[in-house]
Amino acid sequence: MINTICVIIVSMKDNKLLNTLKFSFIKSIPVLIGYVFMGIAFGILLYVAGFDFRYALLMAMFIYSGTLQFAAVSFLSQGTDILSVILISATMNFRYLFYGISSLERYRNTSFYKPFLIHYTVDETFSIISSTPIDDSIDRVRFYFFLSLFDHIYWVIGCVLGNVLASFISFDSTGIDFIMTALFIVLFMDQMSANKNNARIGGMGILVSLVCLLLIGKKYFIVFSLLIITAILLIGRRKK
Amino acid sequence: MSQPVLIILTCIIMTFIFRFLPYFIFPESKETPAILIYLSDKLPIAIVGLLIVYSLKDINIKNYFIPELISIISVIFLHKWKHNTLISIIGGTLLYMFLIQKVF
Repeated sequence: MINTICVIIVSMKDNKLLNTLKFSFIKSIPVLIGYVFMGIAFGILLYVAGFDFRYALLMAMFIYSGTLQFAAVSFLSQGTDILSVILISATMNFRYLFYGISSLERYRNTSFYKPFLIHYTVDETFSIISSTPIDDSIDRVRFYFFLSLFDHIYWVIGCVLGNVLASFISFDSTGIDFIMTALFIVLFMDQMSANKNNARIGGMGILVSLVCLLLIGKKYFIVFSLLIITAILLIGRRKK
Repeated sequence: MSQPVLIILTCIIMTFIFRFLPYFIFPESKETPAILIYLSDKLPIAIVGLLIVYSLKDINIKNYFIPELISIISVIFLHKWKHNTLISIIGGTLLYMFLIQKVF
């Protein structure tokens, strides 16, 4: 009797694990396509700048940020001074502070997984995790971990592959980066329909970012947008 | 240490600092301040909105955003119609690639 119960519990657990793996993989498919292609683009660029796959691997593993890695290629080819590297990477990475603040509670008590989850915080993974409702058939923490891990693996494979195959690749992938825009739009729509109040906040986010992009320009608009969005949210909280 | 390695190390350290800093300031042993719980509830949707704009910042303006607008509208339409994330994303992207490679 006890044996049977044990077997059932174990198989249930396995089922949940399997479910979670499957769920994580399905959620990661858009990122799979996007990251492999963007990674390849990065790998090629790095190769053209004169750096082999060891650099691609090092950067993909430990920087793991598309924006900063592309910028780093130009730091490398121009031999940019370290102070400038620090300042530019600070403005580019500023958004991670906000992803961290938004994930404090979600990643609480995730023990062993926590440092990985934090290191794997990127735009796409953060957006998917914060937009995906999870039911009881899914192991919440493992879903965070698998999704984050899969996304990172795709990125590393793309970056190294692009670098190694740079001299053989001739495929017109112009426009493939739109897949990220499409992903964000879909996640945005899902969050909007989940909660009426979200529609107002989301619309505000787009509006503030557009205005900041037009007024401040590509380079620094993220920093200003995040500050203004946060300020508006805090003012909205006070009123209530 | 060579300059390239130094540059990469600096980028790595800067990324680790920004990713881990919030968790060091607000460790698990402390209760997260109510204001941050409020923000963590409201910020993500606004950030996804910001990322939509951000992912479009490098597009070529010589086409007056027409291929982008068409593709964005079809992603929205597909998603309203089919409610299938993959169809919406891949459909919209294929359309966009076709538009900017063959039409514009």
